[in-house]
Amino acid sequence: MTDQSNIPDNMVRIEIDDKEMIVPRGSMVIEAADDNGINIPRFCYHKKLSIAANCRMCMVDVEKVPKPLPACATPVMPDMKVFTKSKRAIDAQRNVMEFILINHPLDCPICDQGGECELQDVSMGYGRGISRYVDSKRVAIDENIGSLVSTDMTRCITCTRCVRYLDEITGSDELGGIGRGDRVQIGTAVGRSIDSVMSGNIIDLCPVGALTNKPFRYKARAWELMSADGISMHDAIGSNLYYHTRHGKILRTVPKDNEALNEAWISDRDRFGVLGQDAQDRILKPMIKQAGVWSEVEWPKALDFAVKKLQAHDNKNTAVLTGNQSSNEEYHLLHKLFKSLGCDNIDYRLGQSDFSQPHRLPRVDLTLDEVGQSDQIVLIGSNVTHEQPILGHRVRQAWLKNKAKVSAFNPKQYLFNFNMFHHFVANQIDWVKGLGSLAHCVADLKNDSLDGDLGAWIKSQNTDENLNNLAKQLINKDNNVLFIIGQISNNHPQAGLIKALTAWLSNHTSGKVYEMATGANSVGAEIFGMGAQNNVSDILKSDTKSYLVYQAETDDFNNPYLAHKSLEAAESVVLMSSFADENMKQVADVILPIGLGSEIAGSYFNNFSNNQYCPPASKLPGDTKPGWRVLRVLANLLDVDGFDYDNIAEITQEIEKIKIHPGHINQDGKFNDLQANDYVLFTESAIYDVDMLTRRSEALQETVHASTDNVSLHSSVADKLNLEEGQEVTLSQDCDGVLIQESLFVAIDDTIPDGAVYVHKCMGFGSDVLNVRLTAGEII
Amino acid sequence: MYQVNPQDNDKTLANELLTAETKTIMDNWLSKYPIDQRRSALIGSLHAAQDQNGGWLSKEIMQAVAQYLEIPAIWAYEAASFYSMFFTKPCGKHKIAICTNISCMLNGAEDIVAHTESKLGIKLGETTEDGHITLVKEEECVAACVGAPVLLLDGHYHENLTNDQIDTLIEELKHHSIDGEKAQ
Repeated sequence: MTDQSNIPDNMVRIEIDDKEMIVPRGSMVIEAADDNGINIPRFCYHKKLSIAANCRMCMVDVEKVPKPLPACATPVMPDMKVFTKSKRAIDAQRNVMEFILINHPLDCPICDQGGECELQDVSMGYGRGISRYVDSKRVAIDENIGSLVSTDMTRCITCTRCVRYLDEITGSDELGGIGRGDRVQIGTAVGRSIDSVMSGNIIDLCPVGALTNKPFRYKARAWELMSADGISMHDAIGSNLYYHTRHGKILRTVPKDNEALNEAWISDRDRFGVLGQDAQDRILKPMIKQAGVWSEVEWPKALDFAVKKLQAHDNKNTAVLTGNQSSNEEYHLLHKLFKSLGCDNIDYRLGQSDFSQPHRLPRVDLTLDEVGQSDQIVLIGSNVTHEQPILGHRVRQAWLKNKAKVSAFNPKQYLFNFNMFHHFVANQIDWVKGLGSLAHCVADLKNDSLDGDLGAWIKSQNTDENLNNLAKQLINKDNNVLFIIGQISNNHPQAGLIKALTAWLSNHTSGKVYEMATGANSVGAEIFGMGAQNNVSDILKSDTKSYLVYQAETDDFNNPYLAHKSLEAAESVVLMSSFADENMKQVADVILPIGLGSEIAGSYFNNFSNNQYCPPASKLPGDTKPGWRVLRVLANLLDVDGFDYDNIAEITQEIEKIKIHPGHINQDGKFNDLQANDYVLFTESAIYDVDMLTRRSEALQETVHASTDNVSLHSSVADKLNLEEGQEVTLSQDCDGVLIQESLFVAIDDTIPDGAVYVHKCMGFGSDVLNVRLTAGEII
Repeated sequence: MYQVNPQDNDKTLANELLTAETKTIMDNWLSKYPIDQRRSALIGSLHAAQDQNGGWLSKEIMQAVAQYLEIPAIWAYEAASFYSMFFTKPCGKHKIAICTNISCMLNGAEDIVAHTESKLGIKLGETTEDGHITLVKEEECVAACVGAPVLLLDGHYHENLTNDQIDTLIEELKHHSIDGEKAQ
């Protein structure tokens, strides 16, 4: 027996089932047991949630205590002796089990949770074969809580994990325990839906079949499913997950614990996004267009056709445009192939419009864990909970647990699930000036002389008392300061200025910077040279004759309308993609169907430049091929050497030794103020409109976060123009002489600053031209 | 508390439904607790709202209370559905709540309930046809076991009950007009 005096002060020695262990002081018996592989049955306890101790399933016997205690709410004490299998413990557990089963329906054969049900498992161990209860059971009325989670509240055992999750983790407080005693039911206040962007986790948390996965409902049994590792395909956090497949087809997604990244959660986008895989416009066979008519052909014919298209123009007039969610291996081959051909027109930054910063990796000065230790967080052009939900979760935890103060500079007053210390909201032009004002305040406080072009620009901005208050907090040496550069900044026409300002601020406040990467693997795209000499904007504006578009579509572009026009004007467009909507079919000449990230092996760099490998989870549908294989054959047909790979491992090996240069933000440059005479446009991709898959996931598109054909504006703008909610208006944007017009519906929204208009990106307006006109009525 | 302070600051419903008097009472409750523990003012505020709303809490008024207190609406609904002194359905002018918990039960609360039910012609949880009296369903211990059996009539204790006392109480209530003024 270890002597207690040899144990550090913060640890205690206890015994569980005669097994000796040293555990942290203040931890609970159930944690000690879990860490040491001793199983205690439980329903309400979850390691990531607060302790409720309301299910009473984890009763254990503690020496010298006259009655059983709940292991989840009993702190360890020095020399405590716990027995989880003694008669007293087992009797208590059996009794609790009997109570819980009194009202639980015996509908396991039609319950989706059957086979993976915690209640089923525990009742196998502790339940009686035959119930002694003869009265009628409780029945609950179900509510419709949206398109993602299905409810069967009669099965609920009121463990309140979902209630605590929605309170503590998402902060949305949509569910509660209604009623009292044996009549408590979990429900919403007024029949509302659950709108958190991480709501799907309540499906995993629910120990019974009360909350189940709606799109997965009645699709398969747990024991029919195979599990394969996966990496998030929709944001650069690189959340770890498992795809569950049957007969090689992904039916659902669940999180895989990774403390450093997604903890035990995944966002709804990662959970339901993959369901877009079966969309109507999935391309299953190679297709070629002859005389305007599409026909399905065999691979050799399609490849020949594509090679002829690529060979028809010299490489100066050829461009490669790729999305940002493909694997490192595909990017490497794309780069290798077109570099060998002498093509410099390669880009992956389709959503950006300002390329004044040299292409580089995003600057990230900290790990995701360290986000939680920040004292001051400044969001710079970011709707963080929608852009990277897991990062948003970490920011909330910093606010909740570390009392971090969060400020933001945004073109819309987003409603975050944390309090704002200072929310600077102004239109797309003015919030950048606000950030300049903050820099000016910091410079004044630090007596900085403000040299150079950036200094001069900062000097020309006003100072402001509120921002001065924030500046004082930021320069306080005791504060861990974090600047988060979000998607709004990445896609802003002044992205270079915003980033230079952030870098300047971080230098003068010793703050850290987290620069968000777009999509799942833009870091990989950058590392493997997809950002070559000419950027996407120059490529589209120049007279490019031939395009290869790789896993991208018009909605991915910063200016979808102009991109479509440029692609249409080109003589040939080879599309290598999993999907092709009408827009792409209109411009493309040949479509080579390639696999999605979940269908092929590949590795991905996340926002922190960590490389993660992901095996194929599902079969490639139809005649689809992995992208790397198609590129290999294309290279062979184009007579390029060095493409003799037999399997992907050879490519992975080849790229293993790649050097990664940390991102450094350039602070030089010429900085101009933007002008808008009419209304200032803010166009943003909705959370479920970020890539091909999410756009095609029906379950996600049915949520309240789906994009709309509304134009949101402040009530004072509506008053001025005499517009009413729901009225049809025309929004027009003049992009270098090209007029983009769309009929939209007015949504009066005071989170939009006065003088600004907000539309979803899928409506086709460019984010590079900020001036837009608004006229009542339809397009004339 | 893992509270999010709703930042939309939308008080439309609160301003529409809550009277100035109710708001004053709620402000008074709010002033008693730290700003980040506004949830503590909920019970007092729900009482005020219930009094304003003719003795019961509609979903709308509960939402209005939550809005005014800047707490999630579900918290108001949880509290209102939990406590027997809150009514989430329309009820009578006067509320008789007979304790049926252990001490009262041992001292004959069940007989008292049966007598009251037959006297009023309604069951527990029901309201007389004239909307005058509601028999509160399942009142739990009111912490007056020394005087068991006990009932609460509109918040006032009546102890050591007998059937005769019930008759007197109901008789007295009959002389109250619907608007609560005592008839001469």
